[in-house]
Amino acid sequence: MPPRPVWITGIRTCSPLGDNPLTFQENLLAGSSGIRRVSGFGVDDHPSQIAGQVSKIPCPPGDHGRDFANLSRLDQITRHCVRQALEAASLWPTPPNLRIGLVLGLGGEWLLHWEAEGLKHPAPPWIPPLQPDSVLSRTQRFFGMTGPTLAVSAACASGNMALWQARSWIRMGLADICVAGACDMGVSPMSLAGFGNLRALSRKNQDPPAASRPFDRQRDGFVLSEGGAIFVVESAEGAQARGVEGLAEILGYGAASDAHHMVIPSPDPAPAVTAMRMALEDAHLQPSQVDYVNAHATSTPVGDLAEARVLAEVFGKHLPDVPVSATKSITGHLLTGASALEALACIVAMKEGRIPPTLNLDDPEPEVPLCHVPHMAREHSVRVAVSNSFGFGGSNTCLVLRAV
Amino acid sequence: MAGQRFGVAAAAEVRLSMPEVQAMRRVAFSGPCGSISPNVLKHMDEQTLASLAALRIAITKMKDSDSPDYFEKWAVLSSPRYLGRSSLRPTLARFHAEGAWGVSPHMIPHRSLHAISGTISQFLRSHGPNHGVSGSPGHVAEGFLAAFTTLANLNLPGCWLTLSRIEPELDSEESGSPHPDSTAEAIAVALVPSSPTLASLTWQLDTDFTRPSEDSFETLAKWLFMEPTVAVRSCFLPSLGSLILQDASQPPSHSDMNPVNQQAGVAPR
Repeated sequence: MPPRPVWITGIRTCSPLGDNPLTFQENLLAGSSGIRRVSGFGVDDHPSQIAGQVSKIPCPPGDHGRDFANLSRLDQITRHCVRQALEAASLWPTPPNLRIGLVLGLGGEWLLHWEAEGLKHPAPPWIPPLQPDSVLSRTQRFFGMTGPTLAVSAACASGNMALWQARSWIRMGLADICVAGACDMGVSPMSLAGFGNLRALSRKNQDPPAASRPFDRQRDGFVLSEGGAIFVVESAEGAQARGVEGLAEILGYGAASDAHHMVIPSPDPAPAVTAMRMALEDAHLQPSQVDYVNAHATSTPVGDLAEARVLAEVFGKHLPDVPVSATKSITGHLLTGASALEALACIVAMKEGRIPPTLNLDDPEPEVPLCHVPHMAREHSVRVAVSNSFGFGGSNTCLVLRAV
Repeated sequence: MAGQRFGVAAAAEVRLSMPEVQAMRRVAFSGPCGSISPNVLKHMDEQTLASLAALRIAITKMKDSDSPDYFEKWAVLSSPRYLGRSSLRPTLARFHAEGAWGVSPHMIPHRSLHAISGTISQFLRSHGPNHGVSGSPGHVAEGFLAAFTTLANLNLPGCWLTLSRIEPELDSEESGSPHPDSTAEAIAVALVPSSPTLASLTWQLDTDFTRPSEDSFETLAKWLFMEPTVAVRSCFLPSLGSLILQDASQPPSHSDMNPVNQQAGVAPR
C-alpha cells in the first residue's frame, strides 16, 4: 500500500524579502534583492559588510506587544511564523482535540543567545547564562501543542530535514498536524566575523545586490542573511476532511553525508547524487519528470561547481531541459533557515507558473552548462520541484515537492 | 498504539575529566575507519571529544565492525546539551579585544549543533544522513525521538546516536573554561533494525508529549548500563515515554521487568 500523501496546508515567512508570503513572492519573482550594507552594528573591520536582514518582525495579532518585544529575535520570528502559518491553514484558534507536533531547524540557537547576552556585558567576569528551556519548548508551551517536539540541525539543510521529520510523524501517527520549518537570525557580529574569517563570505561590499552571484564566474562567496519559513503539514486525508486546500505535497526526501570535511564540499559528487536519487526514488519519479530545481548554490567558488556536477550526473541527457535557479542570489543565505525559504520558493513557482531567477548570472560557469534562469523570472509550468540543500558537516539533502 | 522495536548493537559511556579532554587533543584519534589529527582535535568542543571516545568504545563491542566500510551507510545523530558554551566566553573576550579579526574561523564549524554528528560522520566515513538534535535540557528524549524516526522511515542498516553534556555546567568561576571538577560526558548507542540476535529496544508509542522535557542523561545511563543480569528493564523519559530494553537471550516477560526509573527517582507513568 502506498504511504499516505502528506500536504503542506499553511505557510508563513519572514525574510529580507518580506514578512508575509505575498510580499515574498512579489519580490522573489521580480528579482528584487534583499541584500544591503549591514545595519544595527558596526562592520568597518569585517571582511564582509553586507547581508540580508529582517528589519522588523511583526507582533502576531492578539499578542501583547510589550511581551513580544522582550523576546529574543529568534523567539519572535518563530512565534510570528508559527502563529500565522496556523492561521493560514485554518487552524487558529487551534482546535483542542488535535495533536500538533513541532519540528524546528535551529542550528545556532544557543550561540546566538549567548552572543547577544555577552555583547551586553563587555567587561569580565561574564558567564554564558543557562536557561531551562529553549525556543522549541517555549513555542510548544505558548501554542499548547500536544504532539512531539524536536529541534534539528543539518546546518543549511535543516529546513528540508524538518519537513521530512514532519512527514514521517504524520505517517507514523505520532501527530495529526505538524508545524515544521526553520528560522535563523544569524546576522550577528560574531557570526559575520566567523564566516568572514572562514573566507566563506563575499567581499563585494561596494555593490551589495550584485554580491550573491551563484554559478557566475565572478562569484566569491555567499552573503549572510536571516529569516525563515514555517509550514503546517498534515495528511491529505486530514486536510480534505477539514475542507482545507493543499499548497504542495511533500513527495520525496533524500539525505546523504559527504564524510569529507566540516566545511568544504566533497569533490566526489556521489554523496549528493545519492541524496537526489534517494529523493526521486522516494517520490517514485524519474529525473525527466522534474520541472524545476531550486539549487543550493550559495555563490561559493567550490560549492556551486560541485553542485552543477551533481545535477549533470542526476539529470544526464535531460540536463538542458530542467530549469535551475538559485534564489540565494536574491535572498542571501539564511543558514539554518535557507532550505525552508527555498521550499517556499518552489511552491511560489508551482502556484504562479513562473520560475524565480538567478540574479547576477552574467557569465555562467562554463564547465557544466545548466538550464539557467538568469536575471528575470521565466514562465514555466511547474508541477514537480526539487530543492537541494547542502550544509556544513557534510549534510546533503534533497526535497521533492509536487503541486496539489 | 503499539510500540516500535529496534535493536541495540552496542552502547558505551564515558565521563572525561577536563585534563583527560586536553590529553585527547594532543594525540591522533584513531579508529577502524580512519583517524583525526591533533590539528583538528584542538578545535573541537569537549562534548565532541567525549562523543568520539564513547563511540570508539562502543565500536569495540560490535562484531565485525573493524572493517573500514562497516558504517558506510549508517546515519549519525548527535544530541548535546548547551554545545559550545565553554568556548563562547573566551571567543567573546577576543572579539571585544580585537574586533572581527579575533573571531576564530573554527568557532562555527565546531560549535554549531551539527558539529558532533558531522565530525563522527567524517571519522566513520559514514555516508548516511547526519544531523544534530536538540542542544537543550531535553536532549536525551529528543535524541531518541529523532533516531527512532530516522530508523523507522529510512532504509538504513543502523543509526549512531550520541548524547552528551558538560556536568556540572560552569556557573560561577571566571576562567571561561569548564569548572575543574566538570566532566565531559557522552553516551554512544548503535541502533539497528530489530534483530533476534541483539538486545531489543522497544519504544512505547502511547506517549504524552506534553510532559516538560528535562535532562534524563543520568536516568538513561543507569538504565542502559545496569547489571547485565537484569534481562528486561524499563525506563521512562519525560516528553518521550517508556523505553524497554530486553536481552536477546531472554523471552519477553513482565515478571522480571526492572523499572530503573524508580531507582533514579523518576516516577513511572
